[in-house]
Amino acid sequence: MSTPTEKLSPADQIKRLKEELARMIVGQQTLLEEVVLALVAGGHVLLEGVPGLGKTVLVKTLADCSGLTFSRVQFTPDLMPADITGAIILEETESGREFRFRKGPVFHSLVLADEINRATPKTQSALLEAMQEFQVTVGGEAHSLPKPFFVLATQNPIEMEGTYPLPEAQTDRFLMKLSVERPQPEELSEILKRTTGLKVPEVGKVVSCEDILELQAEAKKVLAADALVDYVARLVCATHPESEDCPTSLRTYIRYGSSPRGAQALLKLGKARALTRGRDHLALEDIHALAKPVFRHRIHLSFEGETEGVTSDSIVDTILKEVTFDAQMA
Amino acid sequence: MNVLSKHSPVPRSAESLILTRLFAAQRRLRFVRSCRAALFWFALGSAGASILLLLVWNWNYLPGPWQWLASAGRPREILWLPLLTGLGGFASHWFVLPNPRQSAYRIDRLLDSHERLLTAVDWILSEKPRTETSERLLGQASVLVSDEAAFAKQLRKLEKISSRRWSLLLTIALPVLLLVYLPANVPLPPSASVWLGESQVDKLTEDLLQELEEAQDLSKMDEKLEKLLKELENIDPNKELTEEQKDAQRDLQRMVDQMNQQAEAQEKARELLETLAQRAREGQTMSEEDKKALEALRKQLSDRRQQNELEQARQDWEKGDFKEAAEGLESLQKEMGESSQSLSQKAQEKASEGGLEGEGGQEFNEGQGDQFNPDGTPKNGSAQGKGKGQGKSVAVGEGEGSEAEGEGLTMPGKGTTLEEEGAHNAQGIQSLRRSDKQSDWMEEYKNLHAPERADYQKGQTRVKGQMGDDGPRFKTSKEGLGDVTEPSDRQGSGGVLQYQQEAENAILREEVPADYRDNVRSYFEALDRGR
Repeated sequence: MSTPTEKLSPADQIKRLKEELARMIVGQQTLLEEVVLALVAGGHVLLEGVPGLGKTVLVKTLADCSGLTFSRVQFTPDLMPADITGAIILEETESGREFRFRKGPVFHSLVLADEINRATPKTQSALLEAMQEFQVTVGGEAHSLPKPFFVLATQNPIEMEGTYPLPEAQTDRFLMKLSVERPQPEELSEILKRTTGLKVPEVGKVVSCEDILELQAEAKKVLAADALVDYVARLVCATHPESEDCPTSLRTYIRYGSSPRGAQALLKLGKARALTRGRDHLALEDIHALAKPVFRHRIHLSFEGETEGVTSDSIVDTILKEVTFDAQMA
Repeated sequence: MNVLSKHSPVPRSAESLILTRLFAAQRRLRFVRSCRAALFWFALGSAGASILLLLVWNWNYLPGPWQWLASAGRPREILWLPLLTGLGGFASHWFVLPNPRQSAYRIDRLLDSHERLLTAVDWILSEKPRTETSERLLGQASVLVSDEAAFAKQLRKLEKISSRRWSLLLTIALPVLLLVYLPANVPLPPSASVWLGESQVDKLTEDLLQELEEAQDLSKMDEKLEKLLKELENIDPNKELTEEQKDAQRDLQRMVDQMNQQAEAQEKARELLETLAQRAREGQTMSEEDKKALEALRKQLSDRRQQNELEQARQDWEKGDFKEAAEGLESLQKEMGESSQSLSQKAQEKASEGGLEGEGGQEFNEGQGDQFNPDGTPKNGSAQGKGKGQGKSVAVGEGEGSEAEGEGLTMPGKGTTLEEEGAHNAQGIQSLRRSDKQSDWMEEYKNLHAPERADYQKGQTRVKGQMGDDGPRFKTSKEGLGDVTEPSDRQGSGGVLQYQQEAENAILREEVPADYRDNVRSYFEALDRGR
């Protein structure tokens, strides 16, 4: 029996985190798991769904559970880059006036970029350096971001009015894109019960900032057989219409496929998933389970694909079916 | 405790244990895959053997060389084919050990261990740096396979040999059943004995054109012939011939030769017409060779009506009215046969009237025409063999010719006269082929190749020929048969031609594939050219 002082295994820590999140978020088990995986893998997540599905609540709850510093940026069309990264301002001090860098909301471990596609592309791009390099450069001076740094962006479906689609360079920086589904009737009923009464559920801090950094380090230690790494590479190649690995039936539907960052994301997330399952090695099922959220925003459909109603998910399904794993490849 | 086997209870490292189990799995996979490949290839070989048996059964559709196999019957050795292919299939997998990573992956699938063994094997074989995590993984992987008995039990499920035993049984049994229960091979149909290839048409056309070159116009011959016969009318056999009479006899001989030449050309034309008619009847489209043949035939035909008929047949053939074309050509063939025959008879009659003996008539096979009448019915014997002094062939016939009892090239059976041969011909090849009395011609066929026939033992080929006033009439050395160092006493052409005729008759009766008939013909043509 474990005592409070006893260190939990990475799998148990992650399990506790998920359980804590589930106290606040009703249903959405897959979504919760994938968000936690992204946190463990050290990547960022783009959440897509219509308003009111609990995206913001999820991020807030995650901040509460993990003890990470949290900030929220509500993206609007008039939002400026400096509103996110921070700006150099002239400040009155005892020694006189001097320019000082005033940190923006991005300088927190957990950043919620709410409705990111409502801001202009210029403002959206302000996050680029922060997400990739974990630093912000203002006035020629680079400012490191806290560790861990985790951006959770939410966006409304792009068909909605007043939205600016994220540039490819921006979307590629998100480890995965998750779709927030509408709750089932029974789930909705539970949500109503939990949120409309006097007693609102509270969550506690179950993992610390250090724990999360440790989990991220543990995830990197997970072993991956060469054959599986090759398989990931072949999957990524298969998303490119000009590649030999790309199934013939898909070539007309894909404009361009995933970048190498997609392969890195899949492998990182796969390892994180293996860790949550208590494994020290990557398995084929990890790759299969995460291929859709990883490639969903990285596969860009051609005109034919758009008109015929083909989705990125269906393309990933076909690729997983056609590109078979070969243990001999290594 | 991890041990390699119950017989060797020495603790081993996780790595050794994993590799040992992996090797066992590889051997198991190799065995199963070898067996599976053997069965697959056995089935393939078995199907091949069955197809071969069926093809051989109806061998008329096979190309030339295979027809010999078919005519040889149904070889039991064909059953070796599935056995050999099965063995080959087994060997092809047995000598290749399955890939270790692939084997590890198969075990992972079997044990539902999420590629744990694959990763462990990959780490061992790739000699990747050892870390705490990798050691932990190797430990976990070795636990998976530590129980030898349980692992051995699991291995049986790794891959299985096909369980469809009924299909396997059927595959094995099929060629055996075919070998035992398939009815006797389909006999060669009469039409198969006729060579219908384009090259044969070409060859016949060439022959015809050559004959046409050599043949001379006989239109003004009748008058001259009558004049010569009148001169030779009153020859007294007891008196010596005058110089004028000798000259007249020589002229007559030349004219008879010309008539025979013409008859031969007509015979060639008839043969060509027969081949073309059969080709048309078979529905074969007109080739360039056919066109050339029809052109050559047009030259041979002097009668305008016949020319028109030929033209009509040609048009019908081109239009695709194969039946009409065949009938037209057959009608012409009939006429040509009759014409050839009557010309040949006429030549013999004139030779007889002119008192030409021995060399006056046509050669043995010439003027004989085909063994069939133009309408396809067997001829009623040959014109030769009877009559006094008609041609060279008479030498072995009834009457005054010498008997065929000599050594070498003559017929081995005494009294095998031309009359008897005529009777053979009268039966016709087709009727012979269908005849139940196979023993007669089988015997004859065997005798044809009897050692004493070619006189291999004696090293000398001599034939007694006719003796003239001043010894043998001709001394001719013969090529290709027996010893040629010593010239024969007998007229060579007669012997060779007689043998040729006998061989052709025997070959036509025997079911020799059409492809090989050409070789026989070439052989005798070579002899003929040498002569």
